[in-house]
Amino acid sequence: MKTFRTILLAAALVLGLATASQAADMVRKVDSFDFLADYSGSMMMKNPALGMSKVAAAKQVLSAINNTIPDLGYKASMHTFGPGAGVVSYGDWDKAAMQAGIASLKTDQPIFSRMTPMGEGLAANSAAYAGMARPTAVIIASDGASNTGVDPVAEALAIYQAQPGICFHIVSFADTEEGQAILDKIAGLNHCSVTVNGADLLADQKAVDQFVADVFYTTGETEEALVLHGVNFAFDSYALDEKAQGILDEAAAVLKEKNAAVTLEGWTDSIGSDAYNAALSQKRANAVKDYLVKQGVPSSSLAAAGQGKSFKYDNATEEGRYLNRRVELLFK
Amino acid sequence: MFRHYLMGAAVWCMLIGAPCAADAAASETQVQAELQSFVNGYVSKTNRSMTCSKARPKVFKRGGKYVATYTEIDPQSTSAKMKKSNSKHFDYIATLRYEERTYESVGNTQKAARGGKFQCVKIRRLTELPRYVKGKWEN
Repeated sequence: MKTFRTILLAAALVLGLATASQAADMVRKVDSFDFLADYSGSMMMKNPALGMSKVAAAKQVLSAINNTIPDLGYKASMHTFGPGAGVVSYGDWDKAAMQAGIASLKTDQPIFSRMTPMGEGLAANSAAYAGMARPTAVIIASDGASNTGVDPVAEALAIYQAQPGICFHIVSFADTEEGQAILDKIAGLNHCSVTVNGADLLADQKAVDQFVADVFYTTGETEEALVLHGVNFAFDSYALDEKAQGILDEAAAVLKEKNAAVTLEGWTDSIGSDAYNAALSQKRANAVKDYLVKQGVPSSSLAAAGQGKSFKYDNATEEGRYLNRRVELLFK
Repeated sequence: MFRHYLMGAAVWCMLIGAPCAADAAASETQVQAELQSFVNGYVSKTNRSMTCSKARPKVFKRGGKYVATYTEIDPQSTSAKMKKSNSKHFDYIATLRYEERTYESVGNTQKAARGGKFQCVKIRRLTELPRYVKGKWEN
């Protein structure tokens, strides 16, 4: 008996250590996320296979996802479309507040005369998405029915083109081929997308765990970037000096070898106004992109984004200001 | 006999003033050693310049809790390789790789968050390209 208890204790210790080690190894895959719930008439309809309305199932699944996301310092928001509304304001992710937001969705809204403007729903949130910390995950819980307004696939594509670092993930409650086809097309726009069947998540917590692991955190893979200091420009200009061109020649070789899509971010120190630095950093990011393209890096794999002032390093010292003035090439 | 050849080669090098392979190798070894020293100094300097450091974590409120956070380069994660540069501006170029880790600690008060156990929440694997210019490494 005593031996058995010792074995149990040892096993518990090993399991405990393994769990602790796993938790310690979790790192954020995204810095922010948005739950985008389809709130249209078709979602109010009962799905016999689910045994409830699709919106009720979506609420349960989003709630399970929210409860499973580890506390790694995300920022978050929640929106609906059909009609479009902000449910949870963007800010530091608060699990309880998100649960309350999900719970606030009604399941007894009218079905008829409530079309599904999915494309408009995406377009309406585009500005909000632009302000979210990158990388950003948008989790769309929908049946894919889109029967009014602009093309949702085209809208998703427009957001991808304008906003590097965002990714749409699909939790499908589709019960028509057309609906699933639309969701599949959105997922097919970018290889970053994870698509799951809402019914699978409803039935199995392990499927929820897997979805959360795929979208929200990683235990191994992490963000990767090439950081360049000394890419100097003439004062108040965005003309690259000769030395900067030499550095970018070397960077182009690294990029060509890597052959990956890259977001190019330009950062400045804190001297000058916000508006001035924002504009200057964008022009400089564009100049760096143009130069890299001339060196043979495919233009389609580079997205340039001026980030303005950086406060990562201490702007009170020359050393810190030098480190803040940098170009980061983030590999996707 | 062999020693005589070596001595002869060394004298010949001195007489014609040409760079000898041995000298070049010695010089490259020296540049490599300087690179390692540069990397150590660069990591220390960069960690010292972080706005939110281990000694001065940033504390903010998330939901009902306080979160203390800081970012630092893990000195153990650094590796640097150098090669001759094709650029007219640099003699050598190096590929410096390292991990930048962000840590967080959560507590009910600011003090508890600052004094709590910090957990790594984000890892960035970064590469930089330091250059050897006019006898010294810069980045």
